[in-house]
Amino acid sequence: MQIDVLLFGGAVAAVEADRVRLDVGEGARTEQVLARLREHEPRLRSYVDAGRLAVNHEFAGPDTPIKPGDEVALITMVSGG
Amino acid sequence: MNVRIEIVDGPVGPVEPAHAAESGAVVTFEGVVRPMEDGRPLVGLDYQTYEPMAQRQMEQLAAELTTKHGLDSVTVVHSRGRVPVRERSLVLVIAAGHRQPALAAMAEYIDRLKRDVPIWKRAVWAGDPAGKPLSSGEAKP
Repeated sequence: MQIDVLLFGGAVAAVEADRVRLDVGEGARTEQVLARLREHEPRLRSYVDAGRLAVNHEFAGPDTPIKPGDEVALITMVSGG
Repeated sequence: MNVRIEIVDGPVGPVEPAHAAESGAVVTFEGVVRPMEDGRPLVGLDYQTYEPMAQRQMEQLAAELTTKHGLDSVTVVHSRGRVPVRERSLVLVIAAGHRQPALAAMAEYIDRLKRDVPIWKRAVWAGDPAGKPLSSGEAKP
């Protein structure tokens, strides 16, 4: 299945896009999505290494399955305040 | 639980804290955009928020710290978009029966906000007559 991973902060500038489309297997888990993202877009490696995935607006553990239609976002180092 | 969380466009204006009539301690933190960053003059900071996750994370954090510290109320107002220098980008008001839990919760809330709430800021540097950034990057947290 195809998923879009939303990007924010410095990750957007790194690839000049606010999302990356990935092909992942059915039932892929967050850990596999991160590995696929690292492989697909090497410019995001440092952001992936320091970041976490959110699924449907909640931080997701490494074993969280991704379903079609889920909103997936790469939450890199934040800097609010 | 008495919690009010808001994300507003631009600088944070006057804030009416959540009700805390019985509180003995009301602690307020104001985050203000510094005029300089690494020795360079700034025009301001651009805040990017991932909503509704940012709102939800701030609400969950307020609920967690209310339970942990026995708070009376938590009020948070955070900016999105451009905030010029010397303007407020964050106002946090915590009320509790006594000062110790209010001060402890304040420090913990700010630390956690800077770690877990999906908000990013980008420096906008001075020197461009058109007001656009000459160059920009991630400002220090």
